[in-house]
Order: sequence, then C-alpha cells, then structure tokens
Amino acid sequence: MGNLPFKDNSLNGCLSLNGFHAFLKPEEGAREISRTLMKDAPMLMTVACSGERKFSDFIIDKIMIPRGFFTSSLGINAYKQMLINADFQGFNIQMLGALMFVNCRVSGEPSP
Amino acid sequence: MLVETTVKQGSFYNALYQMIPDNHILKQINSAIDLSFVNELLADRYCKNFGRPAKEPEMMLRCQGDGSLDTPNSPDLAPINPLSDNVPLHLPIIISSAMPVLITPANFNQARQIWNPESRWRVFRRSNTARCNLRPSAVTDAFVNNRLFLKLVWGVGQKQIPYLSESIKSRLPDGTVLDIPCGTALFGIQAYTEKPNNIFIAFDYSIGMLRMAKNPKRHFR
Repeated sequence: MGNLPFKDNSLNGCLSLNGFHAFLKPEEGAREISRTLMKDAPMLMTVACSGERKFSDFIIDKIMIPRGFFTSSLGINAYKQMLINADFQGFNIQMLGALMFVNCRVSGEPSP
Repeated sequence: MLVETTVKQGSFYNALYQMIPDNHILKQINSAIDLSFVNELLADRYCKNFGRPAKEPEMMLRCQGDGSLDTPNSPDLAPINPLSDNVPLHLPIIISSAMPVLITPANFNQARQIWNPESRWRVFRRSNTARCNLRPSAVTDAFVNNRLFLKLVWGVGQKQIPYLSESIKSRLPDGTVLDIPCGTALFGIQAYTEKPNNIFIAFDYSIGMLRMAKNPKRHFR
C-alpha cells in the first residue's frame, strides 16, 4: 500500500503494543510493516483479542468500538492468519487474559 | 529588508517539496501562476539595505491562497485524511535516548537514510483532530495504566505485567525500531529506556497522544 514512508527492508524491528485493534485495515497495516522490516527482523505485538473473556468482549462491543478506541475486534486465529498472510513466521504466542502477546519474524520470502 | 528567497537543492524544504505529487493542486497552481509581480509592487515598502530579512509578500499571498483552499470540503484534502487510510500516520517522531524528538531539519538527514522519497508525505492538518476526539489521550492514559482496569477488563494479572515488559525488552533488536501505533508511549517507554542507543520511530493517529509521548516528565513522575 506504500503508506509508511520507509524503504523496503530498512528497519530492524517493530513494536505494536496494544494498538493493532485501532487500525482501520489491519491486514494492510501488517503487510506494510512486513515490507519495511528486514529479513528475520522481530515483530513484537500485543493486542486485545475477542472470544477469550466474556466481559472483555462486552467492553469491546459496547464501549471500545462505539467510542472509537477500537475499530475492529478479531480473535487469536484471525490475527495469526493476518500475520501469516503478511509474510511473518516463527510465531510465539502467549495469552495474558484477553491480551495476546505475539513474537514473530519476517520470513523475507513471498507468501504463497 | 526584502530578500529574495531561494530554495537550495538538497535542503530540507526541497526534499519536502519533492515528496508532493506532481498532480497536487497547489503544485499545479504554482506552475501556472506567476505572482512575482507582487514583490515588485511592494518593493518600495521595504528598506533596501537595513533591517531583518522579511518574508516575501508573494509568499504571504500564497499562504492566504492555501488557507482558502484548505477547507474540509476541498477534494484535495481527501487523500491525506487519516480516517480513510489504513495505517495511522501523523507527524512521525524519532525517539532516541528515551527522548522523543520531532523530525526537524537538524535530524532530517538521519531519518532520510531510511526514508522512501516516493511515498506520500503526510502533513498534520486540523481536520485530523477528529481522531483525537475519539481517543482522548488523558482518559486513555488514566485507564490503561490502571492495574485494576487491566485486571477487570482484560484479565491481566499484576504479576503478568512485569513479565510482559521483560519479554518485550529481552526480544528487542538493536538499530532502528518502528513503534506503530505508539499512543502515549505508555507501553513503549520501557523499551525506549532499555535501548537508549536505538532509534525508535513512532506513529499514531492522535497528535494529542504524540504530544504526550514527547513529554518525558509524564513517564517518570
């Protein structure tokens, strides 16, 4: 999508702490981050997932999304698939309540 | 004193100008209309030899024109509206030594080594504050930092928070690291202090949050 003003393979790593749910198009955001990262560069991400805790889901649906704090609410598998599609690999996923901590790396090879 | 302004090749402003698309309406107006006659008309209003160098009247006239074009209904604003974009972008800030700094002409060359000149340069405009209103930075900070809130809403226990921050810090690479979106840097600040020699480039939708991220006192109070 060419929105991040950085060259391909120019950054050493990426942090995304509790913010991916605020992206309007998280899939394209993940692809753009993957483009700018070097091969094997780590991506450290924490994000609130839906489908883990009923109370968290209630807060997301009734407060976070209507108030504009969240734009989307995805589950664990949806986030993982999104990162796989964006050319990430080597996933290490840990759940802390409804928060998902993901540590993965850019494969550097185009996904099939 | 009236001095003719020249934009030097390779300067910060020239680099910014090159990032504007050729079909941008202001660039088209610039190439089509010559307003230099305004300088000649008003030349006798300025002292010839003394005084601080003044901005050219031509430039002031152009600024007035820009202001009239920069309205919410202008179709030219549509491409830079962050609500229609897929990655949150505002003014990028480079953070080094745990001290967020806006990109300025002084550190621009440092950023330029990784900069992609073909991408569109986005400039913060007032219309973007719509997003700030949706995510008030002070409210976010007060709630997100609250351990009771973390436990109740997200189910994150008190012992898990230091574990999470240690996990992030231990896996953080050296070099240039992107933090997107950074918010108020509430979570990222520990990473910034862990790697003081790194360059952290942080983006966010909200200019209010970026301003809070720039304030180091907030993090260490």
